[in-house]
Amino acid sequence: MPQPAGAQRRLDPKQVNVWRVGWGAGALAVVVVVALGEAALRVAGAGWPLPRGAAPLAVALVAVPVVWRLPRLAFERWRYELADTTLELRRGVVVETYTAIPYFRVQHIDITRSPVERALGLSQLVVRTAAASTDATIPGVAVADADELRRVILARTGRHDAV
Amino acid sequence: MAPRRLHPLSPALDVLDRNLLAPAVVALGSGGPRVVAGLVLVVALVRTASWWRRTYALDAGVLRVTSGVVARNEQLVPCDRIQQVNLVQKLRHRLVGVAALRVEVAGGGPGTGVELAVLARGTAAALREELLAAKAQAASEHLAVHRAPDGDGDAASAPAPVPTASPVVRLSARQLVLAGLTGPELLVLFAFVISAVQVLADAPGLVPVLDGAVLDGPGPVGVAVLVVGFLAVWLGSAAGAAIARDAGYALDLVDGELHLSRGLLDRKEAVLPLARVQSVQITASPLRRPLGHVSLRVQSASAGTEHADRRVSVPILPVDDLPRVLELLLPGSSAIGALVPAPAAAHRRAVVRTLVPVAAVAAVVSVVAFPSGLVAFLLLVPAAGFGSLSYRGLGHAVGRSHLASRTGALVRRSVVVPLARAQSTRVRVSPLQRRLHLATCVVDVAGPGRRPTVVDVTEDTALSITAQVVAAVGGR
Repeated sequence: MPQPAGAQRRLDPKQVNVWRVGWGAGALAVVVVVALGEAALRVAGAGWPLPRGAAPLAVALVAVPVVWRLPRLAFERWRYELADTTLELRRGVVVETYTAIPYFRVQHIDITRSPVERALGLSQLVVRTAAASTDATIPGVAVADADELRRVILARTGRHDAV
Repeated sequence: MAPRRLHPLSPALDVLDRNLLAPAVVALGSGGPRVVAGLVLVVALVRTASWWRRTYALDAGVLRVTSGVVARNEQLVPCDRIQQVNLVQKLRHRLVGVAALRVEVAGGGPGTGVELAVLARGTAAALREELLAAKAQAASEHLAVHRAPDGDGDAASAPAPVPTASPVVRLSARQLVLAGLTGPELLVLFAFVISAVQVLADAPGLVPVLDGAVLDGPGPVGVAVLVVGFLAVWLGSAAGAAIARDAGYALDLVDGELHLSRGLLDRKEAVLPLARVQSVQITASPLRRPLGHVSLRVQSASAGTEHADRRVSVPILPVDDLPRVLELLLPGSSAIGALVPAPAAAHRRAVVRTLVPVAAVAAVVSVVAFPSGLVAFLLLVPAAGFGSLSYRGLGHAVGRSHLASRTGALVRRSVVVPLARAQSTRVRVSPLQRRLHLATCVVDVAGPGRRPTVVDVTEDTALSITAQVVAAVGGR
């Protein structure tokens, strides 16, 4: 999707499904843990005030709308921009985060693809600087665009002693 | 330079370096002295073989170290990537006149540095000078290339400046004792001395004085003697440890490089070029603050400096001396001025931030141990006080080229970073901050250690700090 340089870019809409799958798996794990915990308490003879299966069900009822709705909200909030001197990222539903990385500081860029992302034709760009705490990962980049985006960013880093 | 080997005594000192005591004891217990002799022989053969195969060479600004008996391993370190060069002389090295040289590079874990153990003392010092000179030359070549249209390589043809050494910090024995008595090792030594006393008391006959005290029950005089004795041992070992670690502390600025040497038995020297200083962290613990002292830590980009031994740090410094030292470590930082406190709205957030987890824990405790657990809610009062203290500990200041930020309730930690050294910045706004129109700005710097975090400023301030960082990180 060619977009004018300098404009705010959005993620690929399929990223919503990637997040849903991920969060859904996490929620499922939580439900299973709660169910197992409840069963263990029952077996151990400790009192459990709620009726059987109520706790896992409650967790599942809360999780389903969250897993459905929140990735959509996160997608709406995600923006990134290749500005003149920096790579800028804006994201976050509950905690909003704005990250600015001067091109001059970029050390290298990794492209990673999990199985779900591979199935949907997406990838993640992980931008690294000399600081281990730099947090700049752009998810939801279409595979066809990922190499080009990486090349554009690295071309702007210049050839200086960056540390 | 033709490839050279390390000092011939390296295998012998290497055997002592590795921790072979445990296997030797096991071998002694199971097989007797002959097995131990066999073990020592095998180890000595292996060490000698690896010494034979280990060579280093400095060519055209690249340090090349080849090693490995079976699988050959070659390490290439471009001199312009060097962060810090450390020279360590442990007691056994000093007796023989050798030293271990360690070169730190940016990033990576503890394994990415280059270690040459051991070299003759003179050879090690000369190699260090060559590495730093090659690094300086590579840096000036960078500049010459980029200034080529007008410069004509002036930098390369300028006469070599005479190195000027100016002392930055000198610590007397009295200051080191103070550092030991108020330092973080105090708690560790407290636990150590207590357990040592317990061991001695449980083993009758080892210390007759303790025997009498334990068997007959000490009278009030006995208790007083024990307490005084304990305090003497505890504080004495704290002071002694500080002296052993930092005796002869000398931090100098030589021709744009920080030279640090210290140590009583093990002598440690570190050289860190000023251009590689990423940030300076200043810690004022509640013990030292009333005495008017702080401690400093100079951060370079190398991950190896997580070890206190390899770090350039000032264990103790009078607060009055701090501006002068900061200006030497970070030229231009004195233009920052006094720290600006956080906005009043941040006070509420600081108190809430401390109260919420304490209230949650108190709620759980009171439910589990009802009704006596309700007492846990009394903790909310000191928690609110602590939150207030942490608000008062907040502060930041932005100058033309430097940023300073301070956090902490009891232990006040400040970080000063040159804006041009920042790697990236972040502004975070949590829901409560959004309501109070606050934000937190984090500046990432290379290397391990604390990041300057400006907590709870107005959103405009946070964004303007980000803009200043971006403008300062220009590239030459």
